[in-house]
Amino acid sequence: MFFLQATNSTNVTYVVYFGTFGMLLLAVGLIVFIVIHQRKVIYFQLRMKKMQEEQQQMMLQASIESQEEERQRIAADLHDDAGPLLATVRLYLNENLIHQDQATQLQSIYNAKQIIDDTIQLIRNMSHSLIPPTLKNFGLESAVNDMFQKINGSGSISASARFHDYKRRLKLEYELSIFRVLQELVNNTIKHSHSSFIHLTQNKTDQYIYIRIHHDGEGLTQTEYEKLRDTPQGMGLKNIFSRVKILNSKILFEKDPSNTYYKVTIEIPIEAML
Amino acid sequence: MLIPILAFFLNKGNKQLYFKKIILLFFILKLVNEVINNYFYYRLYNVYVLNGIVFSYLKMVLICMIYKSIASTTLLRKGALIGLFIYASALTMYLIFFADGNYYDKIPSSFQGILLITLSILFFYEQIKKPETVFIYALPEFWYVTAVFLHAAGTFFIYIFAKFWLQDATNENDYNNIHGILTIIYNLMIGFAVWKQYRDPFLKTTTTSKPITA
Repeated sequence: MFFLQATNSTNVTYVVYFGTFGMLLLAVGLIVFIVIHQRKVIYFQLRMKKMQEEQQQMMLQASIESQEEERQRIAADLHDDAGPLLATVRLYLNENLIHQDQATQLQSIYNAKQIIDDTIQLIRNMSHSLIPPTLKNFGLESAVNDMFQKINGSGSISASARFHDYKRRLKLEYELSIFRVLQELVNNTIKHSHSSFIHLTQNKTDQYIYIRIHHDGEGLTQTEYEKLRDTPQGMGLKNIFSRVKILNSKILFEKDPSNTYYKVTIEIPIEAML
Repeated sequence: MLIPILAFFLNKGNKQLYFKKIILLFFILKLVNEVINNYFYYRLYNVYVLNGIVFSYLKMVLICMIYKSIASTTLLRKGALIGLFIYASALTMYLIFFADGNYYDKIPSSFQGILLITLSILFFYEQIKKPETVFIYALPEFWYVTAVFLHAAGTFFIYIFAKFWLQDATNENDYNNIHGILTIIYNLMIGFAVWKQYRDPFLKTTTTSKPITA
């Protein structure tokens, strides 16, 4: 109302002064707010970027460490198992063999043959542990059934799998990675969950393939998984995360609404199918 | 007024930038406008028509071109074009139906002020919305818009009330002081904007061309 009543010169002067001062104050305030806000946003983005880089670094580290672990295991197997076996064969087939009687010679050759067979079996086992032949030849379904059969054989836990729609197989690299993820999940379940059963199901929609593991022991929720994954100890979970990420898939850890079961769902895009 | 022109020629890089060229053109036009105004004013001619009709339109066309060229979204680009159209229509209506040819009638300038404040707010809004990694004050266009925004906001009231307020000759000094200070700040800041190169204080790098993100 003051502005409307400003009819004499003094009042107009006040209006002009206050109006100008007020407008300038508002303008400066707005500019300062924008600068501060933008700085905050940029620093936040930079922090996020740094965190992402750190996480990627951790993933890379985990992947390198797991590769190194695998190499060390193979090296140890070769050195500790295949090495002594072949050394023993060498002992049986030494230069003195020709100076011995025929019966001893035959016995030595027979023993060497036995040890060579054992070595072949050992190397085959090592090779199978790297790429399961069932997986390569018959696919994920057979490999999972094979793995579950072995688990059932131990008698400590009941394991079952049901593939509802797996007529078309996944691409080999997907099958191998998914199998490794399933192996890790099943191992974790056996080691940590104290569950009495593990049940795996496979389903398919128009866009995704779902592989779900249920168990009745102690499990993880998504938050716990993400928290554990980011700790230096969560090597297996990091591997799961990086494998799933490379496959452009998703993994979800949940507790059943009935609080009885834990479930882990892997969502794979349909493009991964052959 | 010479500061931005000098800054343009003293600036070793970024002369190729379109908006800086328009700023140069704008200030040359403004300089010509002032010279002509003063020439006619001291010879007691009424400069209202020349000032109000010819230069107001031309200057606003150039300012809207500057805003259009520094816009990174269609919002500001459209805003500049629509704003110019509305301003031109409002100014034409005012000049035809309401203007009395008084030298102190600064209402057309307050129309400009409204448009400039709106365009500046649109510019700041699009800068806030932009997923940007370059600090806003590292951009020359920020300094240009800040200068225009402060000047438009500061002179808004004195322009609206000029005709009435300046009836009393004692107020003319105050008017000149406020207007003069704001114009000096405006020219200095625009000079700085014209002189400034794209330099991100965080990345400590200087580029001679406009960054893709800006």
